[in-house]
Amino acid sequence: MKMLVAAGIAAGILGLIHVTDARAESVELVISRWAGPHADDQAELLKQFEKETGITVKMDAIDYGQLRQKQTLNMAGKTGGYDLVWVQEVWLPEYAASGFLRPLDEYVKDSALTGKDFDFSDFQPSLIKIATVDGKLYGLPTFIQTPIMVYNRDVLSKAGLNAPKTWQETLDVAKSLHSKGTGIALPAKQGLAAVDVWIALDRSNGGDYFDKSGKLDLVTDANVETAVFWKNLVGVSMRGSTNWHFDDVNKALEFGQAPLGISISGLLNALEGQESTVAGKVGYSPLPYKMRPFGTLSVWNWCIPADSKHPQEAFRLLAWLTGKYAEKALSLKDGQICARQSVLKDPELVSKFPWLPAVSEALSNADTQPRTKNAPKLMDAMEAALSEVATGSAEPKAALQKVQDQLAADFQ
Amino acid sequence: VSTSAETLPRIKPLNSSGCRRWFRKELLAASLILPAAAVVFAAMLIPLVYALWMSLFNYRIGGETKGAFIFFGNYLRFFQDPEAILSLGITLVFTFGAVIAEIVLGIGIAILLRSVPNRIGKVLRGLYCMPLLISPIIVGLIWRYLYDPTYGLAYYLLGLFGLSNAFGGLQEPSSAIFCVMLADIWETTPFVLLCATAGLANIPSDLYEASTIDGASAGQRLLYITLPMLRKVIAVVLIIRGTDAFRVFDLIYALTGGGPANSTLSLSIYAFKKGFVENQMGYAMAIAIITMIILIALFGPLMKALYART
Repeated sequence: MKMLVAAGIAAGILGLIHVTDARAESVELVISRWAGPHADDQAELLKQFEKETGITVKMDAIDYGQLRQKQTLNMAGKTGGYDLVWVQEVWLPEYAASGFLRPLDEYVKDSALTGKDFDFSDFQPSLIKIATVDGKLYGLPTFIQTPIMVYNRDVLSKAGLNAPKTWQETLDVAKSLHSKGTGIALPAKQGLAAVDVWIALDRSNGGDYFDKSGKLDLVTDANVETAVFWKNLVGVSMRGSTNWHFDDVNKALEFGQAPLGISISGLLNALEGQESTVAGKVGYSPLPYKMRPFGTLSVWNWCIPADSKHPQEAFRLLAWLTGKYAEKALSLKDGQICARQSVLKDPELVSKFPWLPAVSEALSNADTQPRTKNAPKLMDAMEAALSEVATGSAEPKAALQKVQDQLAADFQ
Repeated sequence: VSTSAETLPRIKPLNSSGCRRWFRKELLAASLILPAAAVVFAAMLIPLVYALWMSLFNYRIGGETKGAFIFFGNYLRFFQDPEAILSLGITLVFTFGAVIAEIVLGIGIAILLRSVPNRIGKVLRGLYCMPLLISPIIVGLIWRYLYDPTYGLAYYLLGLFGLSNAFGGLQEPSSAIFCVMLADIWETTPFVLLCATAGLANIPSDLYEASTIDGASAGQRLLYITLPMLRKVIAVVLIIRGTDAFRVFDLIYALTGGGPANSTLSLSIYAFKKGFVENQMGYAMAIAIITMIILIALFGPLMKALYART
């Protein structure tokens, strides 16, 4: 009889465990990110995570233009709709200040959640700093982008031109190409791409938005000189550039219409792909510089919303996605640049993606756009100002002066 | 002035069963209207009142309860903000330009199609109406590529006549708004065409026959019969298309994003940027309310006149 009771209790416990397991396995995580080939590759990779853990992952991949709005509305409304959100570095301080995100400091120390593959010290320290707000870690960096100059080696050598590096060399090459009907393809559409390129050019010239005390200081000699260079460069650009974003420039490069252009690292894989007409003929370098090469850094971070219904499972996924295995697998698929130092040095990757040395060079001296509370106002005003310069609607100095007058009070 | 009981009209008092009947009848009517009224209240009035209330605050998304009450500060700011005034001007130019062109073209095509054999007219009407089935954001993407100087059909066709350099397209501030208007005209003229076709079908053919016997020319028939008889249709189209065009967002967002140099910055795009890019939600709400007030001022009298005549 005792045996029977014991067996019954054991069966009950086992049944309970089974039910608990079944519940854990029935967890569905919803993740938010932008749509595109990278998202498709990631979705494919996620099947492996689902298989390993039994956790289902649903990806809500939407257009980049609507991503911030959708994430914000979800988290502000505490809908619990997302368990993991992909956050650009410029949005992160605001999300954290609004209480949208869950601090990760305790999670990264918990080896039961991180798994064996996770090595926190392997992340680039500068990128961890970007994901830290008021001493708390709110995300883990995963996808880095920086603008890169691309040139068609064949076209340039046939025209007797060398690959440009400096401002003057780039202007000369673009001018020569422009006289033959093409020019340099630029992301000069009114938008953040133009500002990302401009600030990298400006920092290579010793300029920046702010003075040493942190006040807005746009009308400096260096800034005006960079704005004049931007105007001159647009003057020898391909027709259409003033309404082009990075993806339009990349298409023009990919199909051989543009012999020279400024694209972004996340799109470069397409240039070496099967559909590309220029695969194997393209050279890569950091953006043109005046004094020293400089890059603009854009980092995407995986973060857990404060209202996530499954924070522990979400962190398991976060740790898996930013782990060495998943990062290398994605890098091998599409040449993404991750935040793990060991993966970036991986010989297999370096041999497969010819632009990685140029990206490494650009990143060795790079900075992000400002990440203060009023930074979006500055970006929006700079987008309009640079578009005015590009289209000849305003002189470079006047355009910068207008932004300075408009926003000086916001950056005291 | 004194009123006595004798001077008041005598109302027949209801007995208790009449009272119950009346109450039941009213209750039934009220209970039938209630669901619709509740939907209107919940879906329309609550968000509107909320937007109106929040437009009096300076707040960010997620900080709704921490916002500073600034009364009409956001509304005053709008009229002192050069970019806001610019966006209002651009929106007015877009609305009047696009809607007038759509009405002229829509009615013109409807009249022309009436004169072709019925079977051909039906086929052509179906073809002309196809753009209506495409979402505005896709229309924006289609036209963005049509206007592209490297791949676009527009530049290719202009190039055949040596005119490609004369066209600024979406690249130049002077031409961008007209390019956006053209895309909108392409998409929404079919709507006017459909409305005008329905209106034309209601005009008695005797009027045309009589006027032809009286020696009226085609122009006179258009001016004195067709257009006056289409008056209500035109008014309805004007209200629907006018309010729609004034709130244009997706088409411009896909085509230009408001550029170049803010030359296509509509009020809706401006409100979106202020709200979701710069996180100034109170100001964005105020811009939305101002948009609504301008729409009421522009189209309210027309709607009132239409209701009065109906």
